[in-house]
Amino acid sequence: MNLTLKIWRQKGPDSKGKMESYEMKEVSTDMSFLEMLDMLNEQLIQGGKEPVAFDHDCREGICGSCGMVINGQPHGPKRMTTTCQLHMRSFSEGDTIYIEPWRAKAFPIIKDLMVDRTAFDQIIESGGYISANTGNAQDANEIPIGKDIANESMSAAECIGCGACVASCKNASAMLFTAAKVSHLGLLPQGQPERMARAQAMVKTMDDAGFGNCTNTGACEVNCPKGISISYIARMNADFVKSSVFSETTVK
Amino acid sequence: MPSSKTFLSSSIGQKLIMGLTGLFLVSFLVVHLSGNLLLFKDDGGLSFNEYTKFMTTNPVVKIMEWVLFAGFIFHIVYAIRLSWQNNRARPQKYAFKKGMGNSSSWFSRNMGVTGTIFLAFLIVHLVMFWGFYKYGQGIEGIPIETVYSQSWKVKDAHGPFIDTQLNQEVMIEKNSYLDEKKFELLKSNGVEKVKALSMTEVVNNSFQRPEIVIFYAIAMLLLAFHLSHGFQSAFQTLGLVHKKYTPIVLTVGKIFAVAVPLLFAIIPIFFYVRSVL
Amino acid sequence: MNLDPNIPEGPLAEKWTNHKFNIKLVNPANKRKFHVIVVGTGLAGASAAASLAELGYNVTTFCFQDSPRRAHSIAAQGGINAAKNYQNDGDSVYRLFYDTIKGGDYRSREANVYRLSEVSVNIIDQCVAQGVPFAREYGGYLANRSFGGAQVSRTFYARGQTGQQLLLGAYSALSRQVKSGKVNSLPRREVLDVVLIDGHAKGVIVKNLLTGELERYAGDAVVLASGGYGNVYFLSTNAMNSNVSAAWRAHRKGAAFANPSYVQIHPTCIPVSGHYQSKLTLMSESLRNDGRVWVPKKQGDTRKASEIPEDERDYYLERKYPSFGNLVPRDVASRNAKYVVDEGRSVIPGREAVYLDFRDSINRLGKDAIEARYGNLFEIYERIMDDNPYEVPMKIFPAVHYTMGGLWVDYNLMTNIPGLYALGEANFSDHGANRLGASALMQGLADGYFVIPFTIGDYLASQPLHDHPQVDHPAFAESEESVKVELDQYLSNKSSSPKSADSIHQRLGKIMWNYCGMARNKEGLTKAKGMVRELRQEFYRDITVPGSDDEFNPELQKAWRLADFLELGELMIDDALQREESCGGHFREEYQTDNGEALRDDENFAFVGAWEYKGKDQQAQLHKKELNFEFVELKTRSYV
Ligand SMILES: Cc1cc2nc3c(=O)[nH]c(=O)nc-3n(C[C@H](O)[C@H](O)[C@H](O)COP(=O)(O)OP(=O)(O)OC[C@H]3O[C@@H](n4cnc5c(N)ncnc54)[C@H](O)[C@@H]3O)c2cc1C
Ligand code: HEM
Ligand code: HEM
Ligand code: SF4
Ligand code: F3S
Ligand code: FES
Repeated sequence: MNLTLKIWRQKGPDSKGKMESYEMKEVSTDMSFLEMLDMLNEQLIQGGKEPVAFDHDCREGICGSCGMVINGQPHGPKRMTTTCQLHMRSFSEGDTIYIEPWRAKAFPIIKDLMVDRTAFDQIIESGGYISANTGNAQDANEIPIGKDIANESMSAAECIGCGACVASCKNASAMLFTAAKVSHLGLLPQGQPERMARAQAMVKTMDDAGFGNCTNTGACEVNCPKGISISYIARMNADFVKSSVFSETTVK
Repeated sequence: MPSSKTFLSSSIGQKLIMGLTGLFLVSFLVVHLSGNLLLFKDDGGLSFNEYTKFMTTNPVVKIMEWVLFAGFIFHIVYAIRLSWQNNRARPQKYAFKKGMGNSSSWFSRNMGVTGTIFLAFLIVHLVMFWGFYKYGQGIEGIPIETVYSQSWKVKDAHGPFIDTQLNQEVMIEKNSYLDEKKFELLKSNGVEKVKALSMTEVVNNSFQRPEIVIFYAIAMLLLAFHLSHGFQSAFQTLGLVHKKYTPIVLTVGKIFAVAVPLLFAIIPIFFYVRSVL
Repeated sequence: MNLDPNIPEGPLAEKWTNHKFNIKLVNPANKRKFHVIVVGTGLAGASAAASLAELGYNVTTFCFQDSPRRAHSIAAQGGINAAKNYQNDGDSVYRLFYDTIKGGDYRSREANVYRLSEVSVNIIDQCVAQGVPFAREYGGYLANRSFGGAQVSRTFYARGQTGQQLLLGAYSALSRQVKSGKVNSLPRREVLDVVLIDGHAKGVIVKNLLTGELERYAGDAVVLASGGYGNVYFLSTNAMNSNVSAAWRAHRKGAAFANPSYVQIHPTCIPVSGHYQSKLTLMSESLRNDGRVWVPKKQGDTRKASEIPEDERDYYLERKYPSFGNLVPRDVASRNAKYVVDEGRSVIPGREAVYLDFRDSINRLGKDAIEARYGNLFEIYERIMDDNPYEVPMKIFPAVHYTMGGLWVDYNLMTNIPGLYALGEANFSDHGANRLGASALMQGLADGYFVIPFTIGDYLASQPLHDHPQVDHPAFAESEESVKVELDQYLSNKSSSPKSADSIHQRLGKIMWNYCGMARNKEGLTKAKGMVRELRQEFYRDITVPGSDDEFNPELQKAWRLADFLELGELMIDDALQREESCGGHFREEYQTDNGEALRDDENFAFVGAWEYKGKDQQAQLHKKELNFEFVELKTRSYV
């Protein structure tokens, strides 16, 4: 398969970037998308040029490192699939493929297709936990949790923190990511004591990081490689309002 | 109490205002539509006139009017604020633009566009009808009087619309709907008549002009777009999502988004078509 | 070399309790005067860092990913063991201990393993308290599944993402400490050297992967939780960037490396499909519950699976191991796959693969039942292989999965360098020659949540309260300089036949896979040792790294990691050569029973092989640390 790649090249955070064109020959349909980029990089190195920088690690769709916007869609055209799990058989002979980094003010570009997702860590740091010091715990079976609730919580907890939700949202909103964590913990009995404070604190950190506001377009859910549902956003909205307006908790 | 400043400037707080005002406007649409449907009542425009009279003079409605305008203003101001912030959240746009269409609907992404165009409609609309009634400065050339007989029966009238109602006898109570300033007693051929401002006539006359009809039809289409996303979106914003009930909200929302603008749109079209026939 | 395991006295079940009572403690007010460096934020590192910070220590963590949450532990699927006995099926701390010792083919330390089993129950409690959404029964109680090597159901799981959920739990605990200011989390940093002051580990030299700068960090103790070294094989189920460098640099500084040849090969992975392949994907072992493994009886049979009649199929596991059938342990299943492929009966011409066939189970149970059990695995498979496993049999092959060897540690998890600890897959401690499924997560968290918080105090209590190591100590400058020299060497290297790190790494992987993989023999190992040495020369001669030192430069990263793998590879071969027996993941073809079973030699090889680094290109030195079995009786494994 022969392809034309248009890839965003940017030397560093402050440099100006641009789209550059590369011709690829004999790409196998069995390759993963990243393996195709490995191949490109091998060629670039051979030709004395700088390889394209991108984040990746597990290549199994679970670590959340990888991510690029492929033809305008984060993680490419296939649903429930990370970039590393996308295979070249999703493309056809002669295709031109646009490859761009996640674009959001809160995710500054580091180099080429790599972005800085520290904002996600900060959101978690501000409340994405249950304060249970090691050793505090009672026996695990002391708190029964209904299967449905446990499942619902797990479905939110599956978020891999990749940032595709932000990349796909027309408003660069991080609501899906934040809501997933707020809901994962907020659904569980263990998460109740800090539920109100958590919703306020995490939303505040999210807002301060420069993400946009959700207008419920639902693109995030579609592009989320874990299929996290936007119903969690609704859940967080409710928690946030409950917390800010009705609870006595105020987070500074 | 949270510092309302932080709550209202938070992303979700702002959205909450959008959602609440949006739903409030939706409820207004229902009221307004049911009122407007009185236009179809075959009573020489009497019910509708009564209704408009009520709408423009009743003190409670007058207060509600201001609440309604506040609703519009908040809705619009917050829409602008959110759009501005959202635009800034992605300073550098994607080079490949077509991808977005695969994951979200055009309506949902263009609430600002549909809303703004609809705003244009709204201004024209207000000037045309509500402003006209209220402040008497209508669009020139539209005759606004309808003449009722003092015996509270429709005896005489002019204009195509009233004509068709001639055979009907409609009881009206004096002063129940007629604004002091806007009617006068006439005496002709020994018959006492009331000459009054008739919104029915205003509407009727406005919709004789094809460009206005088209403008209304387009505006209603945009309203449909706006609502097709907005209705369910408001529930999502308010956190009213439930495995059992959300499907109902979605269905109702879809029906609402089609039916309400459609019924609105039928009015100008109906009047126009009738005038041509 | 001081390799005293420091096993506490007393009966097995009381050792840990006694030890906790006897070791020195740091009083709460003094804890905040100490600073601990934690390298790695996987299960072991994140849990350690969070727990230490909760106690009051100041902690700095490093990881090379862009966030601590992305450590390789995230990929673990199956589950985590704990001796909770919630199923009332006769489980106990002792049984888990026994299963682990037996599963490890009697090559691990009793005391360590017992402690692991003991704290396993606390791990589950802790994780649930943190909000890990483990699978539940309808009544709301925790669900369990069973895993290979055990006759009880003791594995806790969270869908197919147990590692992810446990890691996110540890990461959230860590995040909380970051917020409180007790932990300084530094991602996108790679530790390139451990700094010793007066023989004690007191700091690290770190490369900031974004700016390329070398940074110095001093601490009162250093904890390495940098994961395993499976990527020496180039292709493995490990994350692409997993590497041995942190551990290896410590080894070069004097820390003994134990049992490097113990490697676990997982039988059910998606086979290699081409030269460009970058990594291998694991398919859960549970598939073997309903899938039947087979190859054609005929060599070089190129017919489609559906065209091969029943009597021309060889269900070789069922044939050879009638009682366990397709459920034989990992190593047995893996080795037999290799044998049939070596015989020329691979199901992909020119490559290595066997069938895992669900036809019969689908006929027996219906497609829906199979879909309910394995739906998502089938999906993963189809995504990668573009084949529908409901209709055509899956193609699978073993792949490198886990490394039991690692830095030698004592009962306190301290290496032989004072102040240097090794946790999780980076140490060698608990799994002997073979790890049971779902036990790595357990060990990583046991080490981090429940062992290191106590044992590190024993060391720190003896360290000066007011005189803390400083980065301007000459030892830092010296370390930094040596790192710099090495990096410059890669960057400035000019060769007439330039080679990329990956291309050399691929070749190293092939050598290791072919000669130091599922089955080893003296001849092959000896040959491989020469090949690895040669490849190492070639590496220094031809390695080419584009770009510069002051920017994000993944090729440079690959080069220094590869340099360490090239040394480690030889050590693994040395260890495999010296161990003239077959045990667990180490199978020497010379030492097998008549029916092809591993033949252990407890008389001569019941020891830990701890290797001492003797310098670049020098032969490493072996120290044998006897294993004493006081509580269990050594038995031969049998699965026939
Ligand atoms: C596909 C797969 C499935 C598995 N499934 C299971 C299972 O079901 N059950 C089970 O018990 N086990 C399973 N395992 C094994 C288990 O996941 C690992 O053994 C375990 O997670 C290792 O954890 P760790 O904390 O020791 O190291 P890792 O999670 O590997 O973490 C290493 C950390 O060290 C950091 N690091 C490394 N080197 C450096 C350096 N030089 N400088 C700075 N930072 C560095 C990394 O950034 C990372 O944060 C599985 C393994 C694989 C590959
Ligand atoms: C007059 C000009 C209008 C503008 C500029 C406008 C703009 C917008 C915008 C940008 C949104 C999306 C923001 C969001 O979803 O948070 C929105 C949402 C909405 N609008 Fe409007 N709108 C206008 C009028 C109306 C009218 C007349 C109605 C109803 C009668 C209406 C109903 C709604 C509803 C229900 C929502 C959804 C609220 C939510 O998502 O929470 N809008 N509007
Ligand atoms: C197309 C059919 C419509 C007709 C025939 C119509 C007619 C009228 C008339 C006659 C009035 C003045 C008296 C009154 O209040 O009833 C009016 C007012 C008003 N209309 Fe409409 N209207 C239509 C659609 C709409 C739509 C879609 C909106 C959108 C929200 C709207 C918003 C308003 C507002 C805000 C007022 C003034 C406030 C009030 O008095 O209630 N109208 N309309
Ligand atoms: S919600 Fe989905 S898209 Fe967003 S970070 Fe999590 S996994 Fe990625
Ligand atoms: S795409 Fe964006 S608008 Fe909301 S629903 Fe998702 S965050
Ligand atoms: S590389 Fe880990 S999710 Fe893609």
